[in-house]
Amino acid sequence: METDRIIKGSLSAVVLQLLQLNGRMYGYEITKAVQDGSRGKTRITEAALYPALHKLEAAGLLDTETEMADGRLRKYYKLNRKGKKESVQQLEALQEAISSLQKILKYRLKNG
Amino acid sequence: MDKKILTAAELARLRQFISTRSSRFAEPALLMELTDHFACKVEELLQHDSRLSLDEAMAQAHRSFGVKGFAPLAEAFEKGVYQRYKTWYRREQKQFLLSLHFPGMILLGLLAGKLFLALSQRHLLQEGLGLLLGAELLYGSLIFILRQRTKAGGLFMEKAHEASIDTLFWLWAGLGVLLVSEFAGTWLQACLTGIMVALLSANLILFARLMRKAAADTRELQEQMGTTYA
Repeated sequence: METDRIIKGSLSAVVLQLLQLNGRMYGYEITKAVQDGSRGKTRITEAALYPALHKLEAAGLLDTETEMADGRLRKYYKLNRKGKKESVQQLEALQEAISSLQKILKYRLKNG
Repeated sequence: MDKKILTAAELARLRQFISTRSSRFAEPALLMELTDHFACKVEELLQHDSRLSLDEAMAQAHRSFGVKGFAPLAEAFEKGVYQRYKTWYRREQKQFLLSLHFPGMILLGLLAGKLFLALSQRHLLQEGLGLLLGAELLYGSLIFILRQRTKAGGLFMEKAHEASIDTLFWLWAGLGVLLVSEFAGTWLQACLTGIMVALLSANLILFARLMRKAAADTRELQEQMGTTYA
């Protein structure tokens, strides 16, 4: 549960990176990718995913395509040029944050 | 094991399940996205446990959305649509300044100012900014008609209206100018008339474009839904 909260804070970067790697994805596929990618340790709820997706779409980072799949209409999200740039920047920021966090967690005071 | 795929009749039951929870979820664009996500979940549950009935699977899938059910998704969707039109409208405003419409609007403003001066020199304008009042009335009526005509156009139209709320601001700004300019000289009145006429015309064009876009989006979606679920 704690992991979920931490991931949720970086959800935009996670979604952008997943789309960067997989081309185009639909909502349910993204939730499954997060779950499978973390070997079941992390789950993102629909209530967290869709606001993030729609926010990225409104910011002009994602394009959408709607087509028929399994007898129903399915909305696919994919990165546009602006989104690809943003994805690289957000991934760098995320990696930097992880590396800073690792350093902080290992830090000991010299006289401690 | 073969992947479980819901039939058309089962999908219709899913859509009914979703839309009966709130009329808000029946909005075609939202219903489309909700149905697909919900159907994926239901299919997965039925795949794992073939003894589950469709009703049980739907109830279980719905519970997994959390206590608020589909509401956060609807909220996010509506916010996203609003934001999309707002961004589009702002971009159009910027593009307008670079288009040929812009010098056209300046020319219109100059003509309005010139007409004002000509009329006031011949003492044909007894009530200060009568010309601007006319422009205000025309602008107000056209905005009102456009808004009324598109009121029942669905969520896209509704959010496009919200995103273009500053069209009403300019109506009030024009009325403010009318009140204040009673105390201004003829030249200043002519300038204010020209500026306001240009601004009102520009806003009218931008508003009409936004409404056209929202109408086209609605039509496109209806066509998609129509061909799929006909």
